[in-house]
Amino acid sequence: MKLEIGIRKKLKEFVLEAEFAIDNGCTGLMGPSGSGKSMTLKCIAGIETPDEGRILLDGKPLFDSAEKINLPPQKRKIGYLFQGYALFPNMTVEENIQCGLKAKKMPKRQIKERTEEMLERFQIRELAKRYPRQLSGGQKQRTAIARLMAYEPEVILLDEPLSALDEELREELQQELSGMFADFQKPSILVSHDAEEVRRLCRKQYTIREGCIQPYADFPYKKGRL
Amino acid sequence: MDSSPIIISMKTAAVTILITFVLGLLAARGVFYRKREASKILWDGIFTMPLVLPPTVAGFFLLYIFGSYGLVGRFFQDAFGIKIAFSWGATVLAAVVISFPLMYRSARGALEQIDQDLIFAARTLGMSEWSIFFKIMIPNALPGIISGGVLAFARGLGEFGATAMIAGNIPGKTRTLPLAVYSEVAAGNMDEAYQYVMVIVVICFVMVIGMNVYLLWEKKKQNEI
Repeated sequence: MKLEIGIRKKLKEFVLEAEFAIDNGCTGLMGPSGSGKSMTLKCIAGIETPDEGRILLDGKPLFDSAEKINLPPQKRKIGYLFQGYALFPNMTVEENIQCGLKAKKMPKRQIKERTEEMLERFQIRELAKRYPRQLSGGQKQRTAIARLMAYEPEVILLDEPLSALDEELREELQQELSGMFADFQKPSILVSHDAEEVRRLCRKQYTIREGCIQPYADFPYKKGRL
Repeated sequence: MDSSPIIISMKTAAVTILITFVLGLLAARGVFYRKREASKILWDGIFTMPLVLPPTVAGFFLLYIFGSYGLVGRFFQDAFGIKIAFSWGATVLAAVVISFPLMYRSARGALEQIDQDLIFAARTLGMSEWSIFFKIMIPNALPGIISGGVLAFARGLGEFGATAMIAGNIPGKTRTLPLAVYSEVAAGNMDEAYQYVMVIVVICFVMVIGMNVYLLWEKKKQNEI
């Protein structure tokens, strides 16, 4: 799988210009806060619309301003992990996971099987009937990942999932993310301002400065890291 | 005491809140989804007008549109033989128009308080916009929507000015509680008026207390782990 991005969007302070391509595996997107990292992810997911440019997934356009193509987020099959996880507070862990499956109009029995599988895989079975406000930070992250993985996305975007956490929890959740990347063989982007985190989790990275994304470094593939 | 104003008022308020609740919620959703700021301001202005206009002025417009010589009024009379003005339906029409802004504004405020990421997350999970509205937006904005409904119900129950203009003050037909109070006082029957006043005060007080109890219960539910 290949995700190609070439977009321009005028923001309040500067013009965001992002041009890069990513393959399977995790790519880090680095940069100070307010540099347009999140906006880039939101444009890829279809939550925000760029002024012009193209976003191609395996050659198929998700967005193409010249061709007037702009698929809604519902049709892009892109999983998005929000900074605050954005779990639905009115639904239990189980119901959160089922949301995307119901939207796919999956048969009931299959939904049940898939939910069971996710609860098992992310070790949250005993939390199935709990509400998000009754979960710890780590449990919330696992639920959010289970929810987006259940949906079987083609690409995963992670918007600073670890930056609001304390040191100890961050270590633990980093391990879990690294496990998730190992399972997920398709392209993913991790937005972060922590160089160490990106080095640990990603094999490739781009930096962003005042809205310009430049290739920065390719990490050689390291066994056990990915 | 003639009980017909109580029955008419309760019937009017009940039908009104059903209509106002749905219309107000849909209007709030519509304005929430407007992308351009100018369009939001314009629609909000239109939907809020009945709240800031004197009810008699709103009633004047209703008469102008739904009266026997009004565009819609004449159409209904010619096509279905239905006379809207000075019928019981007109009390509902007046109450809906006057109570609508309260429902709309409360609902819109509640929708805008929802964490945007929840809506974005739902979209990336493939949920349709209507599914998001019913399963994510309404449940997470429920306290605001319910209090809007209660305020709108109370306002509809107490509607006087616009009702007098478009529905009149016909005993047993369009004379609602507030109109009955006015009529009794005008006729010098203070004892009768006092009884109607007490009925209105009790209903409104119970509703507001009920709303506050619900909001407190909702808040407690949020905080318990």
